[in-house]
Amino acid sequence: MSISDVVFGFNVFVLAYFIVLNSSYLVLLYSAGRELFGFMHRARIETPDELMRSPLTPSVGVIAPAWNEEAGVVDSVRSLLALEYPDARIIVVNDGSSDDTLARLVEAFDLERVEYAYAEEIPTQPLLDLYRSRTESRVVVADKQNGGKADAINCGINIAETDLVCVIDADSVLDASALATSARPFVDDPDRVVAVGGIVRIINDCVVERGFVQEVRLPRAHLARIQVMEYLRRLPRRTQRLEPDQRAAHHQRRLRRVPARRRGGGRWLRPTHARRGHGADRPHAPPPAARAA
Amino acid sequence: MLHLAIIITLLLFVVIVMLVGTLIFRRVLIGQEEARQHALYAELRPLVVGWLGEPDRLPPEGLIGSMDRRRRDVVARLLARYGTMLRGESRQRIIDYVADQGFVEALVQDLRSWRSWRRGRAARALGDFGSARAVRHLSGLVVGDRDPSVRLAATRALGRIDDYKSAAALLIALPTNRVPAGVVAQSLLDLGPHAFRALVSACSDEDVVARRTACRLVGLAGTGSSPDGMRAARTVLQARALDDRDAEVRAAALRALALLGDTTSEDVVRSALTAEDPAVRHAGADAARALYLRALAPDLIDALARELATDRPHWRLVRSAAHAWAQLAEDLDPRSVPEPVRDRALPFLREAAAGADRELRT
Repeated sequence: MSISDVVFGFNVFVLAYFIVLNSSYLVLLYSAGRELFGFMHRARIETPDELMRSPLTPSVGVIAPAWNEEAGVVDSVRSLLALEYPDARIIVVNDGSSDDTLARLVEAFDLERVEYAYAEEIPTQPLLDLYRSRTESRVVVADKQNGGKADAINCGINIAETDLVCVIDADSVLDASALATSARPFVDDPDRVVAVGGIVRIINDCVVERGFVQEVRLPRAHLARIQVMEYLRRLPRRTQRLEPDQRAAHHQRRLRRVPARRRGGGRWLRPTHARRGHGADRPHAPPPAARAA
Repeated sequence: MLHLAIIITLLLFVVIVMLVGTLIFRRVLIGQEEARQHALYAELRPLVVGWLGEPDRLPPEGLIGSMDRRRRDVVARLLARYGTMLRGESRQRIIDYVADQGFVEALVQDLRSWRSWRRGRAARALGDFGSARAVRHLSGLVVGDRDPSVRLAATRALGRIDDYKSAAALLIALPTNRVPAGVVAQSLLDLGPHAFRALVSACSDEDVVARRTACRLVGLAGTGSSPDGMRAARTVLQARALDDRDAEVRAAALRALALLGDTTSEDVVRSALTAEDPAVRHAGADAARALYLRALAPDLIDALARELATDRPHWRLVRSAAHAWAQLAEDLDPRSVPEPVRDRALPFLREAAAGADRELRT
């Protein structure tokens, strides 16, 4: 076999590769076009305000686990309070922070400790105290021993007594209509929809005032810019359940099924939201068991 | 082989160029269409607002007679929008106008289109117009259309047409499971008084989904109905809460009785607190609290203790029973809880007492 044969064979291989690649892109483009067309027309048919005024709208518990988030936790909770949804409760779980996360929350929302019987349906690290806000009846703050992000989420699920739960990071900012948009598929197709995803954007270098994105900008840091691309290409997907001793996923993509026994049918919910990119995002400390290992 | 690969490559290239060209061409067309529509909106909106703003005024020149498709489309959208916002005489004028000008007929024609988006859009517009003539056609769509989004649009449209036939059509659709029960329920709720009598009847329906939905809605829709209607509703709901073979129906009936403020259902609630299904007991505890049935305080403690004695208690039921007890009992004495589960009950009793702003006896 001569070199020219090898070169020729390689060229054919490259050609075939690109034919297959571009053909698959065409198929994807076609199916995306069809879906987009349908989406645009469905948007015209839908009546978006219906959920907002209905007494049948499912209640949503927004669970925000927080570990050493003193810098942004108050703004994040403020942005959650601004969500346009008729029946949403904000459950912040302070996962044994060593900084002033809890103190900032107590001060900002005039929290008071309340008597609470913690029903540990999902086993978690002990709950130390539960606080309710005197000024914002929708805000509940759970203070617990450190157990990792998964454990904090499980604690939030134990406390939430809502039809749906939505899990976000305490350093994330949700779009005002995120809950209404996310809850819609549960109403429209309750038999098949068990979870929804959303579009995640990087908030670094965007202008955020009191929990609202005022101006959208690209991050200055190269690494965070790459992360923008990563989020753009990511498809929403279903994820497996978090185990209490599992180290929390880096970007908290995971949603937690609410035990069916508690709610007459498990529901998951994840919103459309913006979050901090690389550097501003860190997983919670590993649970004690993992640390010992 | 090589020739084939080159041909395929060229074909791909042509397809991609055509695709990009089509997208650009389409974008230009859409832009032009949007500009035309903006101009038409600017021209027609003042006419429509002026007409609807003055009672007894006939439609102006620009809104009657023959119109081209684009103009009709804009007028229809404007009227559909105002149709959902207005009530009374103004809404009736819109209903009459769209019927006289042939809009309803055209939309009914669109309901037969092979394009699903066109059917869905027509269904929504008919609902916005509140046209009673469309009920029959929309009913067919609710159960018969192959596209789920069209079925949803037709269901929601029926909820916006104030006609007793809409309620009947929606109740027929419930057991078919072609549309989620929650969406049908919302449409029935939107109908308000027009649906109340039909809902009371549906509480005794053969189908379990229909009974569940109807019982749930009677409580929400019934507060503004006549005394006779309320009496009939209470009787039916009490019967469902006591005897229905489906636990969810019983629970829904109990919650509806609580919403209607029916304090005569003490025996029904007491019976619910001893029911086998935890959902019924939970609804019973909530109803006892909502109706302020003080005589049921001992029954609530029994329900709480029985639940705590199980291996896997339903915590929401335990919490509800404790809170109801703390509201209703004369003396918050934890010793009324049997010894074996007292320690387990104490945190819940403390929480409930604090919630009711009362002291738990030590």
